[in-house]
Amino acid sequence: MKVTPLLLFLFACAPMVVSAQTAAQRRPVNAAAAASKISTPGEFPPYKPPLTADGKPDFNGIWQAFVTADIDIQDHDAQAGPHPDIMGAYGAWPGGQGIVEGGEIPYKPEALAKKKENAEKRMVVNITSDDRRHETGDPELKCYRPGIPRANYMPFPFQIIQSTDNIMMVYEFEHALRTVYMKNDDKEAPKDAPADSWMGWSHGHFEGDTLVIDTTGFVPWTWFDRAGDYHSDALHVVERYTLVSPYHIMYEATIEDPNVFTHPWKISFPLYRRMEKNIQLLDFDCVEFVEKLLYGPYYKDPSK
Amino acid sequence: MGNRSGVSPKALIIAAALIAAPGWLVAQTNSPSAAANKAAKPEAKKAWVLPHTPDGQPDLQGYWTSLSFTPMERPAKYGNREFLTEEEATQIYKEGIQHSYEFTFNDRAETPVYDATVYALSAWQEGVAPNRRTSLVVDPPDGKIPALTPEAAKVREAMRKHGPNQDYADPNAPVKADTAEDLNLGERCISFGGPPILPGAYNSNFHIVQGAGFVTIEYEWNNEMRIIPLDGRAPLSSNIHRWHGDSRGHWEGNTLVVETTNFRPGATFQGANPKTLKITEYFTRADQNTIEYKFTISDPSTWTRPWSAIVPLSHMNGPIPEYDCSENNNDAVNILAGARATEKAAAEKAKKISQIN
Amino acid sequence: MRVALAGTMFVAALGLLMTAAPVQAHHAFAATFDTNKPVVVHCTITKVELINPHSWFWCDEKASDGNVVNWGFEGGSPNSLIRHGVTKNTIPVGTELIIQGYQSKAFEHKGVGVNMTFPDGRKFLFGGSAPGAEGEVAVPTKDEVAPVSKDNKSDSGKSDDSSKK
Repeated sequence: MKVTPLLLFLFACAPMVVSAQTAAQRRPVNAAAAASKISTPGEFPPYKPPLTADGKPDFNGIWQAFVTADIDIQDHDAQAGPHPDIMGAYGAWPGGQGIVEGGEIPYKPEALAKKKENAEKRMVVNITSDDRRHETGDPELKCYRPGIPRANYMPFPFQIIQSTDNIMMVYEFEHALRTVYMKNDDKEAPKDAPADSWMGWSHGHFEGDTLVIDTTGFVPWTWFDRAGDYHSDALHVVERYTLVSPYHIMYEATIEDPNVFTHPWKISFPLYRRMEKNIQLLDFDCVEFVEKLLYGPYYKDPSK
Repeated sequence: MGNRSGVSPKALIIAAALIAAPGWLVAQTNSPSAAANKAAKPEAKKAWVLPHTPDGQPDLQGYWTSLSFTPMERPAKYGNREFLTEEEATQIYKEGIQHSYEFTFNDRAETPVYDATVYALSAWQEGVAPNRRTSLVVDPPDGKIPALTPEAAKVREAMRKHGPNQDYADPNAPVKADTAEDLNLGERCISFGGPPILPGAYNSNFHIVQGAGFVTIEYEWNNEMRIIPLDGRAPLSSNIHRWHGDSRGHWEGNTLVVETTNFRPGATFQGANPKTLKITEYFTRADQNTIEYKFTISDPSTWTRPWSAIVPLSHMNGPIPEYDCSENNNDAVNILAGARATEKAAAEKAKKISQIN
Repeated sequence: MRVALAGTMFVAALGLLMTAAPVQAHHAFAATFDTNKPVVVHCTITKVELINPHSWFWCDEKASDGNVVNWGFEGGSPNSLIRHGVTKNTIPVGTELIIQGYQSKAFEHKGVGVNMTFPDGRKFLFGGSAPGAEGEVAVPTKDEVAPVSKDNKSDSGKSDDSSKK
């Protein structure tokens, strides 16, 4: 056969094509093999966490979630946010996949109507000098304490300071604070909350390497997100924190409230260790930014 | 007004016992009566051992109150005397208890707000401890805060005249409350101040927790938190400002030394200059129920020299509940609405007068 | 213990040093409550709010014409009460109180509760307890709570006459 320039070209390229195919066949496609080189989302190799001086898994550090659950803990598309004519992309909210296991919050039918009403009125702020101030409006908008579990998935860092008898969880948002009592004490840390609070009354213990925090004593006024998901004062949250790498906590929470939901439901997502050198919490005490919003109707000159 | 008129004999006995009990108070004095007091109690008590955290730090943890009857500055009659005699300390403590039993939250005699004893908020009910010091200020040696610099004196005078907190000599005088910014930082639930830690009127309480490389101090008022790193990191740059400043801590022997800078303008101790103010605090566990807390204020643009005070922190029982300030800030609404109602009433009165005329 | 306001960020008083915040938090008493409008209200508790900076007690007052008015009275911080064992369950709904105080300037049925007693004259909660009498909380049990009409409001401890009206 006569060797034309085209054939010559093809013969020249063939080894490259062949070798490319061989290389592809040689590159591992199997996920398990790939995991030895690339971390797989959702998978953590077995991990034994370092211990504190008193022999407990060490949760000290600054942590943050990177889900969009504060906007909506269920699946949500991106949306414009309030006043897009002024705020543009500053005020727009991204979409995200929900953190609710099973996808949907199991509301009782009448309770679902209340969630929808909350959402419609999330920016209706009417501050009276009594608890009617809580009837409408997202508490986050008003810079009120976010409650649990919402504080754990807001897009701000929080710090865990762990001691034998107390674990302090300090949230940058409005310096919200949880004191997690690691022992029962009839006077100083009784089992039941002496008074209701926004961040709840928490007792913690370890189950193996998992920190379990049991929280009750909630006021009924915090929301789970900006979408109006809510609870009553019967809310009971059980959280499980497990260190799964030097840089991650796997967080799960079981939420129970027989007044609002037909059965308990769970959320889960990873918490990430903030790794900036010299990372520390700063002040995000947003009260100073919401005063006009809250109290404007009582100002001498409401336009100021 | 009920049975609040005196102190029962039982209380005085309890008070006297409390005066005698704290050995560290006696040990700190150089007076002959202190030595005599020691000699009078020959039985050897088990020596107190400073507790340590599991990772080997001196243990400062627990609930502490800064409540005290000791004045900030030394009354002139004590001269350079740092300590009271036992008799003097007992007398001051008794008088303090008696007054605290009558404690009402009132700005003026004519406007009692409510009876603090109903809420267990009198100093006695809150567990005030006696103190053998003549004043909180220990340096300068005369127990007085040093003079202000001329520029600071001007600033202070201006604050007094034009600050948001006018003198309320007349309970019916109009109050300037046009916007929330006319209220003070506490009324706005933004910040209740500190450092330093001082004796307060009530709820003057703190929770100290130590974790790996950090010490936290929770203030009862609004659960405000100071998180103090001990890892030797550099201070924040001067471009960042915080309501309680920003702190760095380290141990010197058994004393936690905390240095704080980066204060926010408008939120500094005694109106000091946030650019030049530095507060150094020293926490030493003196015995099971006491932390000796000393602070040094250094601000060359405000005071002509640094000065220091010692505030005893006494053990108290917890818990410190959640303090939801802004969430329940009925005061802000009532103050603003009250000012509007006063203006409206004054306007209607003026209108009526002009109609008559 | 009377406190004289001496400035903005610092206050000194007779033997008891105050930090700025707790005293200044009351500097605007004059703006909030009207000392020219004293009230004495005989009422039954409908809601207790153990909140900060001030507790609030909500109380139904029954007028002689049968109308019920719900009052709200401001009290002190509940934190020390909580440390003394008071909880959200300590003061039952229906507890009868006589509250003497001053009305709010802006709102008709809100005020500050200066003196709060039970109809028999005992002070509410810890008031009037001798120093050192820990745990002595003068709170009635549910059985001790008895409804009384408004006509009885002026004198504490004279509840027997009212039923005849």
